[in-house]
Amino acid sequence: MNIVVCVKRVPDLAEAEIVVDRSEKGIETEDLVFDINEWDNYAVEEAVLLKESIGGTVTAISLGEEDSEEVLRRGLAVGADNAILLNDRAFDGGDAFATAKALAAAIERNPFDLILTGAQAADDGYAQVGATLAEMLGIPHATLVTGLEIDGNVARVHRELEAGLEEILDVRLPAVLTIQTGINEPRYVSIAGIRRVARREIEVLGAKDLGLSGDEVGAAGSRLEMQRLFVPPATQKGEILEGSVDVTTEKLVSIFASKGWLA
Amino acid sequence: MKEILVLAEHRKGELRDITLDLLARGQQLADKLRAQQAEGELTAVVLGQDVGTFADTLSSYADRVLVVEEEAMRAFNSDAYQEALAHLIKQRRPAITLIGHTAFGIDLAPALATSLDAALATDCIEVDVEGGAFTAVRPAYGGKARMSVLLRGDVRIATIQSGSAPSPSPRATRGEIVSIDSPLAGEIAYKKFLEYADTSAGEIDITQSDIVVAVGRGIGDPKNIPIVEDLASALGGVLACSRPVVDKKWLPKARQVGISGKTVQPKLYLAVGISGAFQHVSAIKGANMVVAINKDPKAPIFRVADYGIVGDLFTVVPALREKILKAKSGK
Amino acid sequence: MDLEHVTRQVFWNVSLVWFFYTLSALAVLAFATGAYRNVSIWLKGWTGERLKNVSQSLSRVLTDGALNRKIFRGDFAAGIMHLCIMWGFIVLFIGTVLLTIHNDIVPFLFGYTYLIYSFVLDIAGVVMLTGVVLALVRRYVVKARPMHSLLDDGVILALLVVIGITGFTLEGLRLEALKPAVDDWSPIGALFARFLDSGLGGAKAWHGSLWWLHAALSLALVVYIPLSKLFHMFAAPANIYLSAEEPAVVTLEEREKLVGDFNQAQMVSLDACTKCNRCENACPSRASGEPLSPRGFVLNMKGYAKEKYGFRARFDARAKEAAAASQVGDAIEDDAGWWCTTCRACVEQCPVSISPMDVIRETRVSMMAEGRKVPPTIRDMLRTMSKYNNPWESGGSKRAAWRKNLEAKDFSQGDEAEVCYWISCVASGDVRNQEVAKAFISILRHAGVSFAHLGKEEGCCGEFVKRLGEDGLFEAIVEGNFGVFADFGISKMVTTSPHCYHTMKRDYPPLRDKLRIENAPQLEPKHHTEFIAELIAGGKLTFSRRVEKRVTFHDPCYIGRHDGLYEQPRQILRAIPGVEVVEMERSRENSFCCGGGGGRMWLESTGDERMAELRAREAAKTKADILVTACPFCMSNLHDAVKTAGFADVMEVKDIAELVAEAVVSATAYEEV
Ligand SMILES: Cc1cc2nc3c(=O)[nH]c(=O)nc-3n(C[C@H](O)[C@H](O)[C@H](O)COP(=O)(O)OP(=O)(O)OC[C@H]3O[C@@H](n4cnc5c(N)ncnc54)[C@H](O)[C@@H]3O)c2cc1C
Ligand code: SF4
Ligand code: SF4
Repeated sequence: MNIVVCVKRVPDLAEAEIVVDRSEKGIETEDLVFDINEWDNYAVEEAVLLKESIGGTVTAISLGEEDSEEVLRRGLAVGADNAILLNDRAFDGGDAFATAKALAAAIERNPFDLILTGAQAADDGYAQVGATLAEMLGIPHATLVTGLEIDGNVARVHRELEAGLEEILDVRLPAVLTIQTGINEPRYVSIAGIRRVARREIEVLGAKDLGLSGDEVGAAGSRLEMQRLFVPPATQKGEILEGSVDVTTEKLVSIFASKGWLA
Repeated sequence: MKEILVLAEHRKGELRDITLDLLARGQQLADKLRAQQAEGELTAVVLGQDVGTFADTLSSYADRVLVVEEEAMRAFNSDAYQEALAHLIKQRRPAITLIGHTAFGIDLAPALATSLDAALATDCIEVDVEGGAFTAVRPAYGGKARMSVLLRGDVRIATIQSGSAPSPSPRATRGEIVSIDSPLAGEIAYKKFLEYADTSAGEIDITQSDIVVAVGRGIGDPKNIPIVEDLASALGGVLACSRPVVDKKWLPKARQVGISGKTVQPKLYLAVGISGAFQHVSAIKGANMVVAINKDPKAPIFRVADYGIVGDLFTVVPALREKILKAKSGK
Repeated sequence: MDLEHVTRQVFWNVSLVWFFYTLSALAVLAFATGAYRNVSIWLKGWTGERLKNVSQSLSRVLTDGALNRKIFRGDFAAGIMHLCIMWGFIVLFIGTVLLTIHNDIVPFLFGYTYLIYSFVLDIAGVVMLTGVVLALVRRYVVKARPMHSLLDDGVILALLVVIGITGFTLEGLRLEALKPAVDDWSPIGALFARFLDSGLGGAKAWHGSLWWLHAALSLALVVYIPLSKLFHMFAAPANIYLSAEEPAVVTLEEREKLVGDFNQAQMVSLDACTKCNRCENACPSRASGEPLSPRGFVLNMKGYAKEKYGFRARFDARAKEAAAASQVGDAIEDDAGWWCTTCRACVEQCPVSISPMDVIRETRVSMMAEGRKVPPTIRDMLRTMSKYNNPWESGGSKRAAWRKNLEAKDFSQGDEAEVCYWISCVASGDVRNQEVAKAFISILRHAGVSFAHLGKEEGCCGEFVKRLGEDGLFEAIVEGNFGVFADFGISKMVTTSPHCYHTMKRDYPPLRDKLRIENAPQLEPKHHTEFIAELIAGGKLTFSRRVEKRVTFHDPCYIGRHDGLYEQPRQILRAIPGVEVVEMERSRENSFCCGGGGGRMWLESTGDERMAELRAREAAKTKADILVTACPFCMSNLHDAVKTAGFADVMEVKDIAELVAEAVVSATAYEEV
C-alpha cells in the first residue's frame, strides 16, 4: 500500500499574539513558534500505523518554503520513507484550490493507494485541500475521519458529524481521507530520531517540475483573492474584570451572588 | 445572476438549524441584489427522500423550493449530492450557492466547487455583494484574525459558519415548491453509507445542568483537572470540556462541548483555559451568561464572554472557588 | 606416627577415581561455557570511558565487596549472614584447589601445614553453614524483610546446606573408620566422628556412598553458578569496581555510533543482582503502590539481554531474527519505564552497587528514540519544551514579567553582578515557589551579595529532560544555556532548585567539553543551602528574630543522595535562633522521595497514596510545626500533600530560605520584597 500524507508547517496559535504585517495579507512571524499542523500530526501517525500493520510505503509531502523541511523531517523520523517539498515562488499566496493543484500534480507522478491530509490547517482554516485534491485526482474522499480500517481495497471510515454522532462508511481505494484530531495518539519525535534522518534526501520540486505554469498555481491560480487580513477587536460583548486576582474574583462572586447562584 | 441558491441540510428526518442560518444569509444577499440590480431571489434546494415536510417549512423562507427526491440521497452522501447539485448549478447559474460549514458541507463543498471550477470560500461569517462582486469574511489563525476574500469568476460557493446570521422570520406568502427529476445516473458504487454511531453517550448528561464549568487545553495536564472540577462542585455545576481534552482522553466524550460534542444552554457557562474556537462557542450560544478565564487577553473566547478574567487559571480558579465557598457559607 | 608425616590420603575409600575426574572435567567445562556466555553478553554493551580513579574503585571492591559494607547497612544480621557464607565458601573453595594441587601436582600438605589446613577448613565449613542456616531462617522463617523467594533461592541454599553437612559427615566417617593416631585438627570433624561412632558400624561403607553424593552436589553447584544468581560472586565485584564512578555522559553523536542497549558496566550490573530486594523496599514509587520495582526492572532487563544476545539468539535462526528485531521498549510493560522518580534510593541501598535508576534511564533513552511508548503527557511537555524552552507552554513573557517585578538586577537588561541567581522554571511559574524566590532574594540583599538574575533570557535547565532520556533535546538546551552564560560572562551561579544545581554541576561540564561549546564558561553552581550555609559561616547573616518552631527537614533527593549535601541544611536550621530540629524516621541518605523527580511531575500517580502524602504522614509523626525542604518540586508536592493528607492545620511546608528570611530580615523589609 502506497500512502501519501500531506503536511503543513503552521504557527502554534494557542497563546500566540497575531500581528498583521504591512502588506495586510500576512502576519509577522518573528515571535511565533512553528510546528507541524496538529491535524497533520495525527495524519502522519495514522499513515505510519497503517504501514506498520499492513506494509507499504509512506511519502510525506508539503507545500511551503524551505523551513517546511522541518515538518517533513519530522515525518521521516516518525516512519515516512520519502519526503517531497513543493517549494517555488510561484506557489506563493495560493488558496486551497491552488495548493491542491500543486499537490495533485506532485502526487500523480507515482502510483498511490491512499492519501491522508489533516482535516484543516490551523492557520488559514480552509478545511478544503483534501476533498479538492480528491476531485482533481478523480477519486473518492471522506473528510473528518476519526476511525479507519483498511480491508483490501476498501477503507471503512468513521466520519465525525455534529453532536457526538459519527457516520460509518465504506470508501473504495484509492481515496483521500482527511484526518480529524483524536484518531490516534501521535508518538513522540525525539531529537535523536530527527537526527537519524537528517541526511535523508528531501526531493524539492517547483512548478516547472510538475508541468504547471505560473498562472495555474499560487495567487494567480487561486479562486479566492485575499483582500485584507485583520485582527478583530478583542472584546465585543462583555466586560473584562480589571484588578488583582483578589479583586476580579470578588467581583465575579458578587455577580454570581446577585443572580442567586450562591444560595 | 439573480438567484441565491441555498442548500437545506437535514439528518435523521430533521431539518438542521444551519439551514435557517443559510436562509437568513441568503435573504440578505437576495435583498442586496435586488437593491443593486433590481433582481434578486432566494431559492432553497432540498435533496433526499420523503422530504415533503421540509419543503413546506422551507417555502416560508424562500421564493422557491427545489425538491429532488432520490433514494440514494436519503442519508447524506457527498457524491450523490455533488452530482445532483452540480447539475442544478449548471442549469440555473445562481449568483452564489450557500452551504453550511458543517461536517456535511465540509465533505461536499470542496469537491463540488472543483468539479464546477467554482470559487469556494469556506467557514464564512459574512458574505457581501457589491456591484456584482462577492466578498466573504472568514476566520484565520484559530479565530485570532480574519480575512476578507473576493470570490473570483462567476460560479461561486460559500460555506457558512453556523450561528453567524440572525434567525430569519417567515414570510407572509410562501414560495413555490418545484419538484425536479433526479439527475443521478446510477448508484454511487465507490462510497457506501453503513450506519450512524453515537460516541457521546456517557454516564453524565451535561446538557441538563444550569451551571456548566468547562475546562480546555489550558489546563495543561490531566492531573490538574480537579482544580476546575472543584470549582464546578463549589458552584453546584457540572464539569465539561473542550475537544482537545477529549482527544487526549483526559475526560470522556460525553463531557465535550462544541459542534462535535454537546450543545448546552445553561444559566452560567464558565470557560476555563479555553481559547474559544467557533466549533466550541457555537454550542454555548444558548447560555444566559458566559464567563471566561484565560491568560491570553486576545483569546477569542472574550468576544463571546459577558464577563472575563485575564489571568492564570491556576491562581484565579482556586481563589474564585475559595470566595464562592465563603460566600455560600456566609449565608 | 610422628607429626611431621601427618597428611590426608586424598580419595581414600573412593573407587572409580577416573570417573570423578571425568565428571569434574565436564562440570568445569559446563561452568566455563556458562561463564563465557555471561561474559560475552556483558561485552555486548558499549565500552564506556575508562575509570579515572582506579585506587578508589579498588578500595570500593575491598569495602563493599570483600567486607560486605553495604549489606551490613541497616541490617546487621544480613551482613553477618552474607559474610559467613561468602568467606566460608571462598575458603572451602581455596581448600579444594589446594588439595587438588597437593594430590596431583606437588604434595605439600604434611605435618603442621596439613593440620592448620584441616583446621581452617573445618572452621570455614562451620562458618558457611552458620551463614546458610541464618539465611534460611531469615528468608523462610522470620521473614526478615519483604523478599521475593523464587525456586532458585531455595535451591542454592539447600545445595549449600547439604554439601556442608555431607562434608562434615564424610570427615567424621573418615576419622571414625581410620582412627588416625594423631587426630586431624578438625574439631568439628572430630565431633561428628564421636557422634557417628555410636550408631554406625560400617563407617567405611557409608563413607563410600556419601562421598559420591557430596561430590555430585558440589559439581552441580559449580555448574549452577553461571546459570543462577550465584554468578554474582563474579559479577558483583566486577560491578562494584566498574560503578565506583557515575556512568559517563554519552553525547548524541557518540551514541549514534554505539550498538547495544546499555554500556558494559550496566550489562555486568544486570548479572550482579542478588535479588536481595533492598532496592524495591526503598523505592518510593513501589511504596506508594505503583507498579515499579527496581529489582524487577533489573531482572527483566537481564532476561531481555539473555534473550537478545544469549546462545539461542546466536545459533537458532528463528531466535536470531526475533532477537535482532527486539528492542528494549518491547520488553517493558506499559508505562513501567516512566514511574521512576530517579530518587536514587535504590542505588544507595544496593549492596553490590547496581544502579537500577540508570538502567531505567537508559531504557528511556531507547524508548524516546522510538517514540511510541512515551506517555502522552510527557510527550506533550517535551514538545512544549522544545518549542518554548520551558515546560509550561509559551507563558514566557509572563514569567519574564514576574521576574521583572522582583526588582532585582537583571543581566538581560544590561545589569552586572558577581553571582547569577538562577530562579528556575518551577520557581518562576508556580505561585508558592515564587514566595521562595522572594525570600531568597531578601537574604541575598541582607547579606550584601552582588547578584542578578537572567530575566527573559532564563530558560529551563533541562534536568528532567535528561532524566526522561531525551538526551538530544537536553544537549540542545545545554548548548543554548551555555550560549547565554557566555553572553553575560556568568560562571558563579546559585539556585534554589536541586535539579538545576545537580545538572549544572554534573551534566553540564562533561557536555561542555564533549560538545566543544565555544566560549562556554566553567560553571560554579551552588545550591542555596550551600550558599546560605557559607554566608552564615562567613558571618554575613545576622539573625535578628527568633523562630520558635519545631521543624523537620526533608532531604531533597537531588542535593541529598545525588550530591551529599546533608549537613548544610541542618547547619542552617541549627543556626536560626529558636528553631528546634527533629529528624524523621527516614532522613539523609534514607530520605523518602516526594515523587517529583525524573519527570514524574508530568506523570500522574496511579498508586494508592501519593509519595508526597506518605512523606507528609511521616513528617507529621515528628510533631513538627514546619516541614522544611529546599526544592521547588518537593515544595509543590508536599505543600499539596499536607493539605490532601489532612495536616494543613498542624503543619506548614516551607523552604529553608523562607525560615532564614524570617529570622534575618525585619518584618517590614520582608514584606517589601
Ligand atoms: C470539524 C471540527 C469540529 C470540532 N469540534 C469541536 C468541539 O465540538 N468542541 C471543541 O471544543 N472543539 C472542537 N473543535 C476544535 C476547535 O477547533 C479547537 O481546536 C478547540 O476548541 C480548542 O480547544 P481549547 O480552547 O481547549 O484549546 P486551545 O485553543 O489550545 O486554547 C487553550 C487556551 O488556554 C489558555 N491558557 C493556557 N494556559 C492557561 C492558564 N494557565 N490559565 C489560563 N488560561 C490558559 C490559552 O491562552 C488558550 O487560549 C473542532 C474542530 C474541527 C475542525
Ligand atoms: S531511583 Fe527511586 S524511584 Fe527510581 S527505581 Fe530507584 S528507588 Fe525507585
Ligand atoms: S538491584 Fe541491588 S538492591 Fe536490588 S535486588 Fe538486585 S542486588 Fe538487591
